[in-house]
Amino acid sequence: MSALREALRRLVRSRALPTQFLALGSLMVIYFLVRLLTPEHPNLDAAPVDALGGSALPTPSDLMDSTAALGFLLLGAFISGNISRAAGLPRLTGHLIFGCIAGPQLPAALGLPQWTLITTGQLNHLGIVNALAVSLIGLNAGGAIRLSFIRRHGRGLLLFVSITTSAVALFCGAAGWWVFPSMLGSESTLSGSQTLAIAALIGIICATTSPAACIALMRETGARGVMAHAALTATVCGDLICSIALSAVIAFTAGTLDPNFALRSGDMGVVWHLVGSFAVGAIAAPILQILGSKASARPQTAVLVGALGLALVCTSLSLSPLVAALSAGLVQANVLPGSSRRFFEGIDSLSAPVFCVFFAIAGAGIDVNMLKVLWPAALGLVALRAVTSTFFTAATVRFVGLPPPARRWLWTALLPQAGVSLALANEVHSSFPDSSWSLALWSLLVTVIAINETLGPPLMRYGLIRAGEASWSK
Amino acid sequence: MIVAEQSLSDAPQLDVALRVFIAIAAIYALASLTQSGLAQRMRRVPAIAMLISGGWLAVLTGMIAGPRALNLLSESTLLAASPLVVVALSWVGLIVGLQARVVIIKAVPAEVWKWVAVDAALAVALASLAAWILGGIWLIESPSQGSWVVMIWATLTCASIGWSPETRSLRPGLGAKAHRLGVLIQAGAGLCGLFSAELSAVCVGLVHRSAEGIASASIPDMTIAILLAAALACVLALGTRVVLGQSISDGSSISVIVLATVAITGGVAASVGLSPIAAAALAGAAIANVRGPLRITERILNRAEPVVATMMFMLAGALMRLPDHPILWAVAALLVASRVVLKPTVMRSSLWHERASLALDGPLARATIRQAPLAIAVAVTAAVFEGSRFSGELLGLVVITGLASSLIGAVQSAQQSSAIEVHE
Repeated sequence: MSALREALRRLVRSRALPTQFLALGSLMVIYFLVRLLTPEHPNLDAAPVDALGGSALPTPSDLMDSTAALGFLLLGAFISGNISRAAGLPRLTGHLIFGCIAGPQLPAALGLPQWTLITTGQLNHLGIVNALAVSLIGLNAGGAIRLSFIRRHGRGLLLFVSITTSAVALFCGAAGWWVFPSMLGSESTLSGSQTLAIAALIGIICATTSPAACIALMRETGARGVMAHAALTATVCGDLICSIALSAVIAFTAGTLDPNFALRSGDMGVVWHLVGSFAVGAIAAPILQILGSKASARPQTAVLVGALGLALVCTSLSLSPLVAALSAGLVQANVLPGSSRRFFEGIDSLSAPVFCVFFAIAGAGIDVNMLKVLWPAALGLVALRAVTSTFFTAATVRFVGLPPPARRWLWTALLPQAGVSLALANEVHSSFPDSSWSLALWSLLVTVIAINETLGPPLMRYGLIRAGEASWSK
Repeated sequence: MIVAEQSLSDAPQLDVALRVFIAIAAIYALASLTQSGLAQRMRRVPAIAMLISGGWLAVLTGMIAGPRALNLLSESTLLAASPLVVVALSWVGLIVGLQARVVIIKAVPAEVWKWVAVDAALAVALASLAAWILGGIWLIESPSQGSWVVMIWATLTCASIGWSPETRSLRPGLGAKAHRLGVLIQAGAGLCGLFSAELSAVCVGLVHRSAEGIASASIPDMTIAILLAAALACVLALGTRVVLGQSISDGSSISVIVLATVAITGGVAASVGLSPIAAAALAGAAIANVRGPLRITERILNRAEPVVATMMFMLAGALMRLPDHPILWAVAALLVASRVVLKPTVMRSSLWHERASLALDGPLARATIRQAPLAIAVAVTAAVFEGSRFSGELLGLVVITGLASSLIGAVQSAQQSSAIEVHE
């Protein structure tokens, strides 16, 4: 309650807020009016001919409209992120909420489809932004892993991360196994093995954390102590384990979950999926490195080309873009640290626009009708995740060998969720797009992530302050 | 867009995405190559300078990679990339519009205004003649014929008006007279560019399809579209200024705002059937004239200029079709000949009173022969909105005129340069 009061107090006191609200409101009204005034593209009864009597092909209207949708999502998500920030909440919360308001699901749930600002067709054409964002998230997270820190705290840290991650995955997975089939209602046709596989997916995604939130808070508060470093390494290692585990679960259970699944199933498929992803990432690292160093004047363009290329190559080879990007980032930051600085700077400057659109698209995809049913389960999962994570962190943190204040507050760093979690949830949804359970699972996971992403960072900031690594003034 | 006989849904999405990526990587590689130290050194050779500065290397790459050669940039790939193309066109328009600062326009000398006015009048007359010839001989008889003639007229006017603002590749020399002439050439090109950008609205906006698939000139529809674009441009300019003003310290936030402005302006224009260049030029002019962090906006836009320019030229190469009908070649020859004869004459006569302070006999005397690069972006717009043999050949006509005029301009400038050296 005190956090909520603090957010409201900040909102009321912020001087820039009226302008931001005005800008957001005006943008939405103007965009709506433009959509209203835009003439309907006629459904052509006959094939159009050109001036020479040959066939003509006008560009599909949805494809043409997707550019305006992209700009609208970008600007709207940016302004709502500013509003969210002014309230002391993460920017990503603002992006998600804006996406939800602008997308097709909320107006449909309210029975006002004519108020839809961004249609499903337009969202489909923006899929390439998702590929790019997943790649950037992976590169950023992989780049945050410091092998020197792991070597120093190696065994203890690995033990701590493995036990905590497994425990959270196990408990949340068990809760998912119990709750998820009932959420689908009486029409649910899930078999026992399908329920088990879905439970594993729920557990793994609940066990992910947020290296991005960690990095952002370290920057924001200037925290550079042992807790901050331990938190960053633990979150990245935990997410790496979860990414690998999720890829393995998808590959092993693909046939069970959806008979039409395209990935090569079987043992070799799993090996190829994991080892191949790592190998492609490791091979890509020096190429990205060269791209970054050669393009010192325009590192953003080099990052754009490199990250997009990595994502598309992985998708075409049935590999995990996230794992490959993690591996590429890790190799770049640890094997080629000096010359990769420009590349990571490029990622930083490109992250803002890409994440605005990525999270807004995620928000636009949330099925609000389903959310009305899902919210108790989502809240339950959030609470269970927090309790399990806190308990097992307290029980195993002594393996890491941290000093007492850091040891006491490390659990706060494991609560935020953001990009990696959403990327993994998207991977599950895009792997089984036509399955009856897929949208419900995705909506549940996105709700859980949104709650953790909203509540987690303020808690972690509080933990850093209490551990003596940051102060209230920052 | 383009002659996309194969729809996007027919091709596997992943294959298309990979091809889009290959196209982006090629554009990036080519843009980096033209900016490299090696390319800068090679620009000392006039022919290579013309190839690189005029974007003809990118046009050639586009032709080779395009659907009519290697098919790396297939029709479905180009169709899938059309949102990206709209952003690039809008980017071009915004850069053009940002030059329309009242302070700068007021500082343009009266001679340049006169020069531009005469040039524009001649371009309109010439384009009208060419459109009349093409309408009678090239086009088939149809209820839409009037609309198509207007579209040809607008495209050819945009191609004929103005000249390339680039002067460095012509090695104008270091004297004050050459420098001043270079500045006037750029000022004139900027003014003509603004006119061309707004006229490009006609290329796309006037032609609407009815449910029966017939194209018709709809002036009310186009008026609504232009008014909508103008209103949006003003609101966006004011909004951008407000939001930019609050994010002045944060570079990445400014990039987000600029990118969003470019995408919304171009996207809305494309949705209402208007040229993204025209709408973005309006927005650019409005942004340029409200107080705000203009410099940083320009810097962000200019940083991407080599990539956007390379993309435009590559697209032109991929989308163009070599003219089938001899009349198109004849019209191209007419347009080139008129540039060679009229442009330098108009420049000399308009600037005659200033001849004492200008190097009117130097290499820059022939600079105005070269076609403005904006003409290609305008012709690409029409081909992006509706893929057909007609729009491809019209683009081909503009590209051929541009290439021939660049070649002749560069050769004549080099001859002029040599003559001066011999004389000295």
